[in-house]
Order: sequence, then structure tokens, then C-alpha cells
Amino acid sequence: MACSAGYQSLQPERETLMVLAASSLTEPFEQLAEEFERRYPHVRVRLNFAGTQQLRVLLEQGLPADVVATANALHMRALGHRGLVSQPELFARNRLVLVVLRGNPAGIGGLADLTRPHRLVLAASSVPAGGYARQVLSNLEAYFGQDFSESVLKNLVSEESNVKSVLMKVVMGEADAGFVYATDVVAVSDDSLIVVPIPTPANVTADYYIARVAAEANQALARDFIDFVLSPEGREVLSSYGFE
Amino acid sequence: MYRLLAAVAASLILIFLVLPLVAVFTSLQWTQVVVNLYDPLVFSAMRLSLVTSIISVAASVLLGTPLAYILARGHFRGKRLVGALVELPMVLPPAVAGVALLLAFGRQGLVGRYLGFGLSFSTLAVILAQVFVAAPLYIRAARGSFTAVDLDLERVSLTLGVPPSRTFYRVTIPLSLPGLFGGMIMTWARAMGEFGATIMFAGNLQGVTRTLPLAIYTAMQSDFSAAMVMSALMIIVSVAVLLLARGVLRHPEWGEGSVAEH
Repeated sequence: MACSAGYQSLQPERETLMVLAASSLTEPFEQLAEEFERRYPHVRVRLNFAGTQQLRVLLEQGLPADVVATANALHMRALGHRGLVSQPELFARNRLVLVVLRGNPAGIGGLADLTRPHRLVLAASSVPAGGYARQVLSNLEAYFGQDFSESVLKNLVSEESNVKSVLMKVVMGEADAGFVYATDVVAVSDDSLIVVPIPTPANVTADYYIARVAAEANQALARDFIDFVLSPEGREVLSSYGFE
Repeated sequence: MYRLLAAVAASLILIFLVLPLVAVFTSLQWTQVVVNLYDPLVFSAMRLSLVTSIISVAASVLLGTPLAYILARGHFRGKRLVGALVELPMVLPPAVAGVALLLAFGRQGLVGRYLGFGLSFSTLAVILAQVFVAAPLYIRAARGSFTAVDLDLERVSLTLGVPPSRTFYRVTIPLSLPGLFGGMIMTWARAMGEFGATIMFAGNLQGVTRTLPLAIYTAMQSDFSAAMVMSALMIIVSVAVLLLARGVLRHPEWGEGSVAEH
């Protein structure tokens, strides 16, 4: 007995909180998890980032998790309908920007150039960022004419499974342009990128929802984590990465 | 006692290996299969996978056979090093292969930089990724079969005045055929299944770079039943290829007896 007690004092048992979050939340959630662990030293937060649509499939296939944070309402609603999450709450907003490779061979400098032949990378339509990007392209038809969206999409060379891969393809210089979240660019300190803002009327608002995963043991702890994200300190972290 | 333990262990691993494959088929709703097979997404992925993997095998055979022969018969400094280098891609994690291909043939890569264009995002990139990971399997198998060919038979042919190139085609190749064919099958299977290097280096676009494994991965995120149908399809094709390979390798004409007739 004494032996096992000694072992326990050496390695105190820590509770694990499993958090699934959209890829675009990577940087703020890493910081939030760190600060949460500082407040709750007995808790270990395990983060898993993926495209929201992947998180949804994981939960539908029964992956055990405590908290899920999505980059749109659609997938969260679908999870709610199946009774997999309870009480989703809106906790952040985000917008899209166009990122362009500086000095790209196609000579792309702004939104109007996107109809010229170049290498455009988007997230797949099922990825929230991909859906938003397509929405923005059709909104931009008000500025650049009716077939703008169609002629831009002719330059699509790859549909990525999350928004971070879109950014990587441009940062690595493989693609000329791509649509990502405004917050994704905050995390990149790379002067190889030009960030082109999208006119507000044509832009979309990405709504981020957070919810407890239903039927999980750590309900109270999950609630604590969500409360922390929604708290003024939590919001400050989120806004420091550009979330609204 | 040991026999019982061995039987239990053997059954466990057998069940573990087969059960997931069975699960794919028991989860299938057969009405969905018909719908999905005509889905342009499934069809274009299947066609792209077949075309690219066949080209990859052809490239591996054309370029790999001479290297395998040199490695089997040649004596030169650094032969062991070359042999090891050739087999390296086989043990590399696919993601590493993807990064490496980008750094070599990407637009800003070692070679791509001088080409003036990157090979990424093209069907050619899919083929390069497949050859990179799969060709070593063929080279290894071919090298093994060439090594196994009795040197005396080649010598006899040469002393009878048959030129070396003819000896190669009439003696060495026929004797190595089962091994070469086995290597081709393994190479083809690996090329068909290539995923990690492809998605990193070639991207993911329907009809251009979205092969069956990429289509399965993409469908997993929106249309689960399509993913299952494509998985079932790949299992069926794999089983068929395995059976074909076994059947052909057992065929008497492919055995050693065939050389006497030539």
C-alpha cells in the first residue's frame, strides 16, 4: 500500500479533457488550453485539430471527447440533431481574406486578377472555409461581373481538407493564391504573403460554436473549459489572434 | 499447452486481419452501391487510379529493370550504398516522401526552381509520387530474381556465341519472370494505394489528382456511404489481383521448365 501511495504522489493522477477544435482555432486554443491547465493543475487538456467536417465524422463514429468547437453552425446543428452535443454557444467570429504569394509568376495581386490563369487552392466544399470561400466568390460577382466565380474556379488546382493546408500550399510557394481566415494570417509571420482584404459587403462571417459532447463523464470539467473560453480572459486570447 | 497458445495467437491475428475487411462489406447498403458506382466522383477516381498506377508500373519496369540487373550482376564501388538508397523510399513514412518530393520537384524545389515550373498539382505529380514509393518494390524483387538465375546457364549461352543482349532476353528474363511479375504486382498494389505523398505533393482535385484513396478520404468528410463503396471496390480489386498473381505464378509455363522450349 505504502508503495502505491508513494507512486501516486510522484505521479498525481490528472484528469484529461479531450477538446476537438476546428483547424482555424489552432493557435488560440493552444494558448487557452495552456492557461486553463495553469488554473486547473490537475487537468490535462488534449487538443485535436481538424477540419470541422472531419470533427463531425469523428464524433458521429463515436470518438470519445468532452468539448467540440466548430467553424460553422451547420455541422454543429447536425451534431445537435443527433443528440451528440448539448447547448452549442456562439463564441467567436471570423472573416475570410485572400492570401497571395508575393512575386508569384502568374502576377496575381488582388481579387480582380483571380480570373487570370494561376494556381488557386481552396478548402473542399465540405470544409467550412471552403464553403465560405465559394460564397465569397459568388458575392464578388456584384463587383466583377456575372461569370466571375466560374472563371476563377477554373484555376482551382487542389481542394484541401482543412484551411491550414490551404495556407501552407501558398506559404510553400506551390500555389499562387488561396482563401483563408483573417486569423490564419495573424499566426504567420512570413513576408512571402500578401494579404488582400475582401470588401465587407462581399465577405462572410464565420460563426464559431462551442459545445459539450453529450454523454461524457467530464461534463463539469467540460463546462468549466467552455466557461473559460467565454470569459473575458478567454475572449482576450481569441481577439489577440484576430477573432471577433 | 504451447500448441494451444499458438492456436489462440494464430486465430487472434487472423481474425484481426480479416474482421475490418468484413466490416466494410457488412456495413454496405447494396442499394447505395449501384448509385455510387455511377457517381462521377467514384468513376473518375477509379479511372485516374487505374491509369496512373499502370503508368507507374510501366515506368518502374522500364527504368528499374536495368538498375536491378546492375545491382544483381555488377561489381562496383558503392554497390551496397546504391542498393540501400534504392530501398530507402520503401521504409519512409509517406508524409516524408510527400515533403521530400515537394522540396525536390515543387515550384521552389531543388529541381523545380530550375525547371521554371513546379510539377505539383498535376497528374504527373501523382505518377511521380507512386513511382517514388512503389518502384523500389519492383527493383528489389527484380534484383532478387536476377541474382537467383543460375550464372552457368548464362555462361553456356554466351559460350555458344549468343550475344549478351540476346542472352539477357532469351535466358535471364524468362528465368526471372515469376519474380519480375511478383514485383510488378506488389508495385502496382502499392501505387494504387498511395495516399500520403500524393495528397501532399500532388494535391486533391477530382479528375486530375484525386485517386481512389484520396477520394475515399475526401468522401469520409461528407458522404460516408461513397467512402464505403470505394473501400469495398479497392478490397475487391486487391483480392482479385492477389488471386491472379498466385494463379499466374503457379502456372507451369511460368515455371523453370519454360526455358527449355526456347
